[in-house]
Amino acid sequence: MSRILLAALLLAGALEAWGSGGEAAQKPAQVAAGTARASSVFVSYSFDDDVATGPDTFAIYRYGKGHVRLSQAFHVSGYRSVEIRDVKGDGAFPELQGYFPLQDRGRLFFHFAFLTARPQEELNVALAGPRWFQLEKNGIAFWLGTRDGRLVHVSDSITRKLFVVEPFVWYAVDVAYDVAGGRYDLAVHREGQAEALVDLHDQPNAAQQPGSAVDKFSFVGSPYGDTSSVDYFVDDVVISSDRAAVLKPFVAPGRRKMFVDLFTAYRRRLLERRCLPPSGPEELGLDAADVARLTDDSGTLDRLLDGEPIAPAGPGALRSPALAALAEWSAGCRALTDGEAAAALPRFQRAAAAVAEPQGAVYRFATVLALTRLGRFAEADELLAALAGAADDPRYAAASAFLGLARGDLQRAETWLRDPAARVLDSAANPLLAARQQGFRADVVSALRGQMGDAFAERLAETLITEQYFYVLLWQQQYEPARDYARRMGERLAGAGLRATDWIERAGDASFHLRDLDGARSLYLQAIAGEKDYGALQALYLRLADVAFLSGDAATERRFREHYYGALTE
Amino acid sequence: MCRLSRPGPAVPAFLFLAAVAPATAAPAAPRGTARLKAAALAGDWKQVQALGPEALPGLARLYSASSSTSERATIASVFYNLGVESQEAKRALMADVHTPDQALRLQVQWALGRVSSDPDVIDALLENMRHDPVPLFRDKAACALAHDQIHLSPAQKTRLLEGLVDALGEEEPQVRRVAALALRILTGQSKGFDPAGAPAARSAAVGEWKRWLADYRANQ
Repeated sequence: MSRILLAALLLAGALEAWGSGGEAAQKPAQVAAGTARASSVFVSYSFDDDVATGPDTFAIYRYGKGHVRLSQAFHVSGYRSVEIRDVKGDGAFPELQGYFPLQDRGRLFFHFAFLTARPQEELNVALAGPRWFQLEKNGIAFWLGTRDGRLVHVSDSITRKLFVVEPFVWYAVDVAYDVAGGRYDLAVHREGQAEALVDLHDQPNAAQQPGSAVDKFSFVGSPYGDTSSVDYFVDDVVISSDRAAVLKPFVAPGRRKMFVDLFTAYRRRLLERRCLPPSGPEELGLDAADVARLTDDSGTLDRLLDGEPIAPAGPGALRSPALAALAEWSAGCRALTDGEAAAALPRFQRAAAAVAEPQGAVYRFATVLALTRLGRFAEADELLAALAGAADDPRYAAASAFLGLARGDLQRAETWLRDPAARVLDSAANPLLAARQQGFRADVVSALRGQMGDAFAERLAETLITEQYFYVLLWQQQYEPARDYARRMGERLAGAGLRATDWIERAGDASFHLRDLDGARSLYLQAIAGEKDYGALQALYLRLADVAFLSGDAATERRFREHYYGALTE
Repeated sequence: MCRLSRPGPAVPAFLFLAAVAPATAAPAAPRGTARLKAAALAGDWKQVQALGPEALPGLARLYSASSSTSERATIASVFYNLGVESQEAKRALMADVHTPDQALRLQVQWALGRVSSDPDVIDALLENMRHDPVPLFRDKAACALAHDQIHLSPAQKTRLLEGLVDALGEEEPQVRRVAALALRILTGQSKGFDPAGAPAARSAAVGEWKRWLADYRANQ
């Protein structure tokens, strides 16, 4: 029997003995792309089959002189593992970073096996949440590593030694993380030994933060000090939950949705007079106790996050400001659905006031909807302007369209475009135009309101109407006029020496809706040429990947996607 | 806490060293001294970096020789950006760690932890955070302790944490607040400490921090 096979069998046996790895941990298997299924397994990589990188799978970062690659040199199951090699002092670090749906409650199981050729060299493995790899709530929840030849874990902000790591030995790691409690059980088994080397229970998470959610994992060398020349191997990465969940099917390699999907879904929701959903639990300002109150068998929190208005119940619910805000929002949403915008508005306003920015955008979007229903467009404009920093949020586009449709005088947008002297498109005559292009910072808007006096509301409306007009055309599925308008707006702004990339991108989106893929490609490339922001460029390149996918151009789709997410190859 | 503009992005030591090619590693010649001075007084730390680590003693001499507080502040910002340990730099900067000049004081406090991991640097910053009469200087000392101690050994890190936990018991509310913020930045935790809370509640939370410190020490 080969050494590797023996290790695999012993590791598998050890897992069963420990018994908390879950069904998935005992039977690692590649997640099949393209199938929707009810399952609690979010991640399962044995690295024997090719997996496309992407926002819903994982990314490979190969900066510096190190690498992340598939290797047949060592493995636990199948015939391959992933080798991560860092190089000290090269100014960068390689990383395998993976993604899974946000887990803000329940019990999460994380299994993997690792073997290091150089135990003295630092390596790090982490589970983290929306705050990425920071030591704080919703940042790093679980953190394992090697320091000076020892395996360590960071618990309660303290690096705690576990055992001396042997070179070229597989270790199986199993974590069972109680998200609401912020505590985990940790077991580590050495190959060839049935008894666990580490069997810890009820450990505080990395920064002792109950309710610290997780949605990503990372395998890396020394990201903070560039002091490691580690060479290690990872196999059989499995992440699962004790809660049933449905993973949407992959619609393209590495991703479960295309960028245009959300706008369409929100449009449908607004047509049904339903509120827009929160982007996640962090937007609601919930603390661990709140999450615990909302976690029940009927999936209250899940349904709330899906935008279903449910009033939190039970003793103490209304003593929590975040839950009280949620209750107001839920009641407001029901009133809005019933056509009672006047009753909904104060509820949304109270909810928004109860949660400090930047949280609570969902309540402000709801307030925009209620103000719009009441015909109070100037107030809706101002609130929408305050949300313009989230202009990449499809809820902003949907709310803009909703306001524009209700306003009903959007032909002005066309008139202005035909008028070479239109003040709304003249940055000298309309200071709000430049402010919009910078995302309507609150302090700038406040200063301009003071300077412009009575003219402020009208100018703000004019400034926003151009994009409301565009989004209304998209809403009405008038994609050709939307594309043409966006293109002409881009030309007009560029001619005046103003930033035009947002409008070129919008023209590309309209072309995408039209399935004019050549046109969309050309416009996105044009937008890329004028864009410097990394995040905006990433969004544009991934749009190009979507275009290539729909065009049947697999090589180009892969090239653009892997430009940001990397590729896992031998 | 770090509300004022801070120096540019931190540059790890490895970048500094990587930029030093053998051809530039010769001792700084007089011409090099002029280049160093011009680059340092312009705040052009990248140019200084390109001159190699041998430039650091010269940079410290320039700092000490200057009678202009604004020039010193600029050179301190260069030390900050280089982020390389240097005893000469530490000695020069420590001479101004209590200066009343605002711009210079802030730059010195920020830079010290990036040129040295000596215990007296931590002690000086803790002293400024706890007892300086100027609230801004106290605030920025805490900011430096939280963000800029980049060369600490485990024992020095323990000394820093002990000083911050001890400062939670200060009479001055602002000191308690900035010490708690620094602890939160370094550990991600508050242990329930409310700097404006009632004395009994504060005392209980400090007790939690002290228990945590004992655990921290035991794991070093």
